[in-house]
Amino acid sequence: MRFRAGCREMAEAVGVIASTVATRTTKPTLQNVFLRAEDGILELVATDLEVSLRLKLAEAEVDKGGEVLVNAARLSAVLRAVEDMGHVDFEADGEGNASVKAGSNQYRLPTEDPEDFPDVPGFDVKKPFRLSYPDLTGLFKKTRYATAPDAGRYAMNGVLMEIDAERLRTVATDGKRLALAERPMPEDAAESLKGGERLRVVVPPKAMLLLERVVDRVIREESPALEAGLSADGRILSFRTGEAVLGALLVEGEFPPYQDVLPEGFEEKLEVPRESFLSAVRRANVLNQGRESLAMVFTFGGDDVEIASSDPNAGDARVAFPLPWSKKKPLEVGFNPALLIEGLVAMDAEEFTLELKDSKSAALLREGDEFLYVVMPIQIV
Amino acid sequence: MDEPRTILHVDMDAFYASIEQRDDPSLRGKPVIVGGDGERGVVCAASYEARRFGVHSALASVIAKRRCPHAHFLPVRMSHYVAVSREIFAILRDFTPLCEPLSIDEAFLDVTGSLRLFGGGRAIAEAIRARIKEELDLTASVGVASSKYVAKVASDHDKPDGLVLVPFGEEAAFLAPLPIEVFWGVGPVTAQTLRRLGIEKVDDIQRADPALLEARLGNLADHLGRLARGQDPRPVQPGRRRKSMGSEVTLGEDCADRDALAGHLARQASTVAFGLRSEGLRGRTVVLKIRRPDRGLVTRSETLEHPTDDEVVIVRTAKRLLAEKLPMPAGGVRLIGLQVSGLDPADGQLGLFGASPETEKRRATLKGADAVRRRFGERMIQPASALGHGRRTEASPQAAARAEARGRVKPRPPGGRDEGQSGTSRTNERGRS
Repeated sequence: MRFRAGCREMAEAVGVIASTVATRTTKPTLQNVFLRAEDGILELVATDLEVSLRLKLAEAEVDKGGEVLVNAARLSAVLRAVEDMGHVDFEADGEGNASVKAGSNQYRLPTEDPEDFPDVPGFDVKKPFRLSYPDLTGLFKKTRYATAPDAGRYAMNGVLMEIDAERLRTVATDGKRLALAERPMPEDAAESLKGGERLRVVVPPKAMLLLERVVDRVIREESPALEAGLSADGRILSFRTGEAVLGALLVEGEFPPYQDVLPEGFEEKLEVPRESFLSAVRRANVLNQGRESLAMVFTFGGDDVEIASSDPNAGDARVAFPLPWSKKKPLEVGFNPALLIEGLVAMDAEEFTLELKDSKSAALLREGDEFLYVVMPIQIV
Repeated sequence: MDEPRTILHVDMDAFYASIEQRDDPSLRGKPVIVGGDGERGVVCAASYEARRFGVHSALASVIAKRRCPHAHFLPVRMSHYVAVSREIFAILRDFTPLCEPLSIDEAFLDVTGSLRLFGGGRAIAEAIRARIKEELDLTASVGVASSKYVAKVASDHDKPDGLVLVPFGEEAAFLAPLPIEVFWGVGPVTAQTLRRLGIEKVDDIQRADPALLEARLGNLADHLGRLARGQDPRPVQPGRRRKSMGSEVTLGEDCADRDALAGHLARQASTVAFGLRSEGLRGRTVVLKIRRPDRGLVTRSETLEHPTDDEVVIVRTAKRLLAEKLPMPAGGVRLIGLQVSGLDPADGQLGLFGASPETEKRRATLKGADAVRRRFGERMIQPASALGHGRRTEASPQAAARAEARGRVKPRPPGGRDEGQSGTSRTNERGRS
């Protein structure tokens, strides 16, 4: 195969591809990018068996068709090094070698037989529907940090996505806190979902990060057209935007019954300025060096809330923050500071509502109607 | 310098051996050795009666037996000692929260702030000793001084059952006649260097030319000079936490049988997990440690996603390390051990969805097993896979009786255990009699 492409475009596309491939894998072939030139079109394909990506490079001038596998990280490094060189000429000799030329630079890379590379489907879905890209990524940003690192009793290692004609909702939880974000469906997207279509899937966080990377670096539009749909067997959610198709193997298993643990709301509601509260929590947290089990103790009562952190080895911190407490009885409640900070960072508004009940019940942080964050306390002994 | 501090160093006398003598009055006044009594067993503690024969901790049991053939050899009952230790620390913390444990039977206390309440360093030391004697029937030696270092030297000065107070300002005079080995950081090699310089006692350092010491000893000179004057500004740190918990065994003979080694690991995991739960800790890293026949040490470790205090998780990880990460040394393994590090207090984080029924069942099982262990001894409950292994190093009559009780424990078939129940076998009714 032989083609010519712009250095920068090619470097960006292969960079995104390289972040798709499996880093630690028992199948070495998955560390490659699959290059296919056919009918004058160049396509790049990569997968880690959970997420797959197909990118068509419209600008590439294909001289001779063919298929070849090249190590994605190495090809990316080469292209990164020559990205200011105008255009790059790629040629595979069909005997295990590929040459990459850009300006006065020449590289040889070993290639592999595409025979063993897994079959990566295209945008092969039952009922495609449209989504608003800014809404989708916005909602994921507000929730995806709250997933659990691995599957436990429930499928908490992914973001629950609920879609119907009315709204798009994402939920993530690790069992200690829960983040829920939703937005109404824009009209054109709602149109494509008419007929009572409802989708409820758990998406691996990597898939959405990759979608953002594709849009930022290859599509380069702020609000590109985005289509999505489920595969016939219902196991893969695919997205299509521009010339890119991304497939995500959905997280299997049951998402926890999150509706059951959403409190209706509590009596004690406090309006809190977000930035300054976040900065107070951070000030109280400076001596805590990543010890999750260490509770940060909030004492509500009178005009100020006292935020205290104490580590027998590192020292103590005490921060007073103006937040009047209307009840006579003060409330002392402990939280993992990292969980609080993540929720506060995910918000955009200047103010949020903090709702509390007692030292054993969750705290609710609300940002308008769009975002709800529920954190369980740490029992103070 | 700030106001003089009053620091106590409390050190239990022959802790393990004293507990055994206390629990079995027939052993009182007799030489008692706690440790493994197999071919490669090691002494963990020796009563003062045994020490007279040159038996001390870390001595090979074979040599200990030669030196003191009539000694009573007893197996280590760690969980029992831990329980007694907890009672001792509860007494110490009645006098000040500034209590820094150094080990299971040793602690520093800064009582500067409690002096008025309890009436002076000596009075506090006497009160502590009296309470330990009265409530636990054990003796402690206490050193009282203005620094940690001098307090520690003082507690050792009149052991056992001693109380030595070094008044503020008299530290140098107290230390002067002592041999240089009392210094922290002076081992046999440095001691030899010092002797060659004609320095035998602390006194010699106090009088030596600092420039000469510096030239010969480098950085150590300054450290020794300050210690010789009794200066040690280190504060008592109550928060000093345990960093790891482990268990190891020197095998009766070198062993290359992975199944047998896995059996040892199963038992060690249950000991370590019990220890963690007893102290309310969870660990994140499991370390497998072996010593080759040539005594070379090999360790392999794995860090878990979630901290644990469950033997099932610990042993699963340790066995995986043994099976996958550890090439079997030629000639087998001389010592095998496991350690859990990265410890943190088990936290009180509440969950949104509650514990799963399986988790709750598992916690209840562990709690019940721990209660039996506390009451009847740690060996009453063992993972089934540990049965038939690792008894070599303990063969006292008690251990034999326990082994018999274990023989009545019905092991589960291999592979027949589920996550929720683990391989922990239960004692039968007879175990309770």
